[in-house]
Amino acid sequence: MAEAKHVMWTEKYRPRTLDEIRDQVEVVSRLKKFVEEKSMPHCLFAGPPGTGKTTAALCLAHDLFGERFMDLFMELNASDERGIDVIRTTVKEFARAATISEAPFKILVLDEADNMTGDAQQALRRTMERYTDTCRFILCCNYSSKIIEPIQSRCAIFRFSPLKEEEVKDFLGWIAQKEGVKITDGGLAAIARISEGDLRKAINLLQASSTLKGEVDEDSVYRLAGRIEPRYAKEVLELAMKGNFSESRKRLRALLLEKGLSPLDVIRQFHSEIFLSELQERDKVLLAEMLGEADFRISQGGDPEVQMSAFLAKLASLSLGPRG
Amino acid sequence: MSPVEQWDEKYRPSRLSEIVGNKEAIGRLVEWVKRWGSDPKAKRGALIHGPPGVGKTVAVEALARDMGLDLIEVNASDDRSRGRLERIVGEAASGASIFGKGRIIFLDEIDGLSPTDAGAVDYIAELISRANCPVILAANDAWDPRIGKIREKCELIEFKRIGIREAVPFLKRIAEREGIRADPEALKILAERNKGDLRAMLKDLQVLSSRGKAFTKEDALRAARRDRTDTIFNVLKNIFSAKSCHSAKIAMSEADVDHEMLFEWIYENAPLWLSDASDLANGMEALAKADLLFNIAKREQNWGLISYAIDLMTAGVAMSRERSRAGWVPMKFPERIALMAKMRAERAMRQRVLGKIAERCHLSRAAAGTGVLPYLLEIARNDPGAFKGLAGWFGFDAEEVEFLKSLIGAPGAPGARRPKKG
Repeated sequence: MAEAKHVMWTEKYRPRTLDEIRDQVEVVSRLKKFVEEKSMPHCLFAGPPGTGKTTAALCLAHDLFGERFMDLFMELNASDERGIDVIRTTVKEFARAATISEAPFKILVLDEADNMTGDAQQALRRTMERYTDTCRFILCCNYSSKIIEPIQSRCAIFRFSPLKEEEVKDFLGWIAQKEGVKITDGGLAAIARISEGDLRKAINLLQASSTLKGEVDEDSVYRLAGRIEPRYAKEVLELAMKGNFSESRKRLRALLLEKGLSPLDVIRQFHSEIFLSELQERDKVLLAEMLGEADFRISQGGDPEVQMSAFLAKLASLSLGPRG
Repeated sequence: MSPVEQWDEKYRPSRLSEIVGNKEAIGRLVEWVKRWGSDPKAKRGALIHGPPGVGKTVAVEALARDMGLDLIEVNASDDRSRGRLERIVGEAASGASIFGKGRIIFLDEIDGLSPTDAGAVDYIAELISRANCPVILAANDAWDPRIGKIREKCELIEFKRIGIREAVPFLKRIAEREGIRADPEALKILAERNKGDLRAMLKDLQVLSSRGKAFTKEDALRAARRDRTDTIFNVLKNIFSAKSCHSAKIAMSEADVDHEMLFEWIYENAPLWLSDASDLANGMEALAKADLLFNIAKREQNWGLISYAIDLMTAGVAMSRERSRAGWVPMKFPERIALMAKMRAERAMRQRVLGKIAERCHLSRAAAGTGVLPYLLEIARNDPGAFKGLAGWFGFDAEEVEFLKSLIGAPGAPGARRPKKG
């Protein structure tokens, strides 16, 4: 079958075997030992996005089980299916069924495991223990601290570090050459810098820049990145700081309802923007406190827009001071 | 000073014979109650439905009085969760009457059952089947899909708008009783403009004629320009300009919308009324706390919390107003209500698209939304051919492709932004 002409490059260039992984050298060498021994413990892969956690899990399964590894492999995304029900049904069913082939065990990958609720993690803990003969778990997460200790203690922990700019640049250069992207060295460097060690982001940026007209340089990369990931939160905050609460709330509303950004993402952006702003230091602390309060209230069932609006109104009053 | 008695209360009919209009519907209702229990093929419940102000509630009340029956009434102001309903009407439905009197259970405003009235629809449907006495229900919209289960078990009795020929003589009698010289043409205008809502006609007549003792065509035309939202505007004005907690809370009781909707109105319009930035910060904080309490009340079914939430959203907002300008303020309909409805369908589509991306790229839907979708849209913007190819690879159907294309040109989308000033 002919390969599709248009695919996402993150998938096209995703390594298939541990040997193809260029980075995370230490992690990979430890994983290769599992392959040699044909055995592995439960694992916890911790590290920022785009550093190869899922890829490593896929490659490990491939190297252990061969081409037909998908029969012995299941990938669940804990963010989408993070409730306790999934742990009690889907996960348990997969884990408990004995393997049919000669492989001694199956692998279940739980992506974004740090987004699992506390009780789901508790439920998982017993499942991991009970079915350890038939199933090995790989939990992927950004922050291992969000995984409850009893689970951490049942896992071998692997830390994935953000890729260095040079590593990203090398990889991008290789793809650019294969795909015939006309991009300057400055352009590649800009992508590497913007993506901050997140290879998925870097590759997506490269693919998007390949659709620009003409040669891609540093300047066009920055403009592209600005279009793709505008600092929405910054705009909203700036309007509030100018005292234009109504317009600021309107933009917030558009982000939440029309653009479909998750409230938590928006709050997180607000959080980093506060400390980049030129507010008084004392006020930054006050606003961080209010933002924390809003975050907490949303977790308790408060309406995201209403809660963040209270924060924006406070910001508007701080920046202006009492009106004369 | 004691408050002026409202005419719609003062002249509320207490006997069926005093009710204006809907004679046929009332006759059917009486017949249904009389025959209740004797005909096994007849429906066990009666659902009376029709627009506001046409006499649904008073008809049931008068019927109970005329027929000498006890009336057990539950309306939207009561907490109507399953547990509460069981306590209020459950016993009445099963036991025999202490005084040997018959009784009627009346559930008013059932299309106003909120999602918080958990399990209420199922319970009411059950109740109708097993009650030892007639159960009458009233709703504005009998075809509200939420009450389908209830509707099946009920005889439907429609109350129609009150015709001008019936309304005008009635208004004339009231005007005479109140010593008002009313121009018959003016009363006709009043009746026409209120589209058969007798209660609204009375309210208008009282408000517009309260100063002088005459009621002219000009007066009636002033009423003509008002519409339903006028009431909410006045309620808002009274809340925002209240000088005491008491008057802010009283103002709320005059609203003909539920507290969730009123919250949206206050939340939308607060920035217009609280022109001072620190007043606004305080007001929005009060609203944020009210919002949290409403939501906790709903989740925990702890209805006692609602009263504090209402304090915060009325008195809390009113008392925030210290330095803001006085004077007339234009008000607007809660924009996000409209927007949310519009977006509901879109969100489902978005999740569909993200689900496909997530599967292809080993990501969560959330990560697909931030980590892939914006890039895909940028590619689509620059190179439609590549986008078409990728759409095939992701397995998007035509509808999904159209949706994605619509995102490219969406207002506020990246690339469509105005350049910054200075």
